[in-house]
Amino acid sequence: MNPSDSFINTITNLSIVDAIQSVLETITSPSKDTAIPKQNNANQGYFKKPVTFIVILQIGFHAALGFSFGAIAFSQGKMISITTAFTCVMNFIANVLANCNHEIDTTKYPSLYGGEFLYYVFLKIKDETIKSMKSHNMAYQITAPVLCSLFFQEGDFISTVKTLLTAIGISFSINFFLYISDTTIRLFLSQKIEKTNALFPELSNVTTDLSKNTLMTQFLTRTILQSSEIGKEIISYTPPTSSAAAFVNATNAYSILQENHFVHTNQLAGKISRFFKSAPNLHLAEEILRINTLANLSLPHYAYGTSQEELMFHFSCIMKTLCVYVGGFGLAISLPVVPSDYNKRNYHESKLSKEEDPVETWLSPSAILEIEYAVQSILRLLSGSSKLTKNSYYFSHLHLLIPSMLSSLHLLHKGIHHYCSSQMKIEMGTGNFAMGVGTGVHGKEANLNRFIAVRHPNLKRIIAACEDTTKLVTSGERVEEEWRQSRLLNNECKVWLNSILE
Amino acid sequence: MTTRQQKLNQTLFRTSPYQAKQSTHLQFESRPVMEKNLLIDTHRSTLATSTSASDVSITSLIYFYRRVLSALFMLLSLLTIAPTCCVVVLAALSYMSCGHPAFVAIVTLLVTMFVRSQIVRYAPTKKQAVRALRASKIILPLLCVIASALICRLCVYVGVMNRKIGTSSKNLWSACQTGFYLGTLGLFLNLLVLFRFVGPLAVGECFTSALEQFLSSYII
Repeated sequence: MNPSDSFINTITNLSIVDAIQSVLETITSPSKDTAIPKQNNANQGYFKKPVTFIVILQIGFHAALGFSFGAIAFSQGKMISITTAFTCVMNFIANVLANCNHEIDTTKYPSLYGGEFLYYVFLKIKDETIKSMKSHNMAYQITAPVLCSLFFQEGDFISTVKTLLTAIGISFSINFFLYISDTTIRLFLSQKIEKTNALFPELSNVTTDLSKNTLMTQFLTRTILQSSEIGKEIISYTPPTSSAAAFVNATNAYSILQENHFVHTNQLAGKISRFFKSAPNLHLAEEILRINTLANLSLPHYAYGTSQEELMFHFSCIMKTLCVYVGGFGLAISLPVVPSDYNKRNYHESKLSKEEDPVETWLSPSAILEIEYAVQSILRLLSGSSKLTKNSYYFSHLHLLIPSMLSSLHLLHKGIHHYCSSQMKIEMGTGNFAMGVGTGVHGKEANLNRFIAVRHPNLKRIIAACEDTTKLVTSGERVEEEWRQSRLLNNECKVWLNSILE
Repeated sequence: MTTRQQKLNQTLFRTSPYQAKQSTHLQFESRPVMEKNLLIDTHRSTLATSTSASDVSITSLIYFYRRVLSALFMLLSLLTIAPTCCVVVLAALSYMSCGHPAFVAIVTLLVTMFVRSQIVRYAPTKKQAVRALRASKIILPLLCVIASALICRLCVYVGVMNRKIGTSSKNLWSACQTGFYLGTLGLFLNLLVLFRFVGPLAVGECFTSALEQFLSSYII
């Protein structure tokens, strides 16, 4: 009998498939206790569940490859092979499925350069291994396969003990190696891009700055928005720098142009918000590239190209892209949707009334990190461009986009407040968060601010970044007054603006 | 529009005299004309088509696979090289200490620990102690190894210890074999981890959008 046949027979006899399915169900399905959000630190979030069919196939794959590995590596009988198969499966369940570890949390791994990288890999693995050794998880991962394999013991007592000790050692080693491998991949994927142009090999073949910048603009726009149509629209809509500068003093024409940009950005933000809400299944590679590209844009040294005029065009395209992205994201998390049956059932169990159903939007740590990078990038590009023109950026090409910027930042601010207030309602309903002293609008606002500070410090950082950017945009008395009275911005936005500037 | 304003335009907005002059006329242009002049730039529209969605997808895939594969390659190469490196280091120590590498290792460990504790004890401030410890991180063990090897060699010359001769070439070859064996085994296990993130069975995600469907999401 070959190893695969014996493995299939074993599985059939023990009905392991049923056992695995029940374990999977308990891990992947939301239980009564965890259905209501409970966030204790900034890294917690809400994640998409992997497809059960794929998970079962993965378990099968792990079992098969683990068994073959045991059979090839250690010719010590069936018991060791079964141990290796179970170890691989248990490692997959414990390290990938449990605690939503299938989601790559880029916030866990800082970016490293040069020599410290290997040292950090070593330190990180050491820390995480010690942490996992202390938890029951590791003991479970080692003992479970060993106990299972005891059913297949052959020979006398002494040989069984020998094999058992070998099985424990092998199980530990395999777990350790799989863990190292998994952590290293996550660490590598979470590294920021040092140079954006290194991503795009075609750029090295292009000689003129114009083409390089245009290509880079297209690439970044497409990467950030994940939509080539919107990217193309942004690029074709942005006027060349010289023309924009020529229009600055032509008050009517310039204000019309500014208004057009404002309307256009809002339209695109609306489009992109639907894209966010529909939760598209992007490839992991595209998600990773987007988050790392945004991280690169938010770095202080971000600059590309030599021609000032082209660079301004590049900056304004990227700025508009970021405005669309930020505004779209803000809209996406602030739009209320009808709760599904599942959600309604939980609301009935909690103390919430039907009228106060919270929005059915959930943010993962990566989504929060990405939006933080986007706001930081706006700030960086603004400060970068003001250095570039030497005059105030007020007179530069980016001035066209100021209403769009303010509107987008306001949308994001509003969205975060909306998201957090709905989260607060849920937590108050379940008794996880107590309302502080204070009544009326001010009391509610104080409670919300306290909730954001306690439960979502990362969102609080984004709000602070929004406010800083707004202050930078509207810096200067004349400019500040102009934007307070601007007819483009709606009243809500003006109120928000006044609250920041006062 | 006067020449003065043209000059002002030129200075403020770094435009050419021609553009500064042009801007005076543009004030009176109607909106469609302006859109024709500014908003719809056919040259850029054409250029915009040059980067297609597939280009970015390919770039993202290249970027992604490069990172994943380099992570796995790093581990595999470490596994393959580690036994050989160990044997080489042991052989070097053995040569330096006339066949007593264990003695060198123990002495190095003890001396390093002793010196570090002395640094902490006698440093005037805590900050200076940390700085000194950081500075001596690599240098101190290295010096200890050399010193203990020399002491060992001296002991052998004096006659306190015996000279031992090892078969290093045989060890090296067996270490290479062990390295290859471990590398092959590591490849097997790496494949398991690789297919968690890559391929049709991938479950790894980095979800960056706002999730709407609560049914397909769950909470930790």
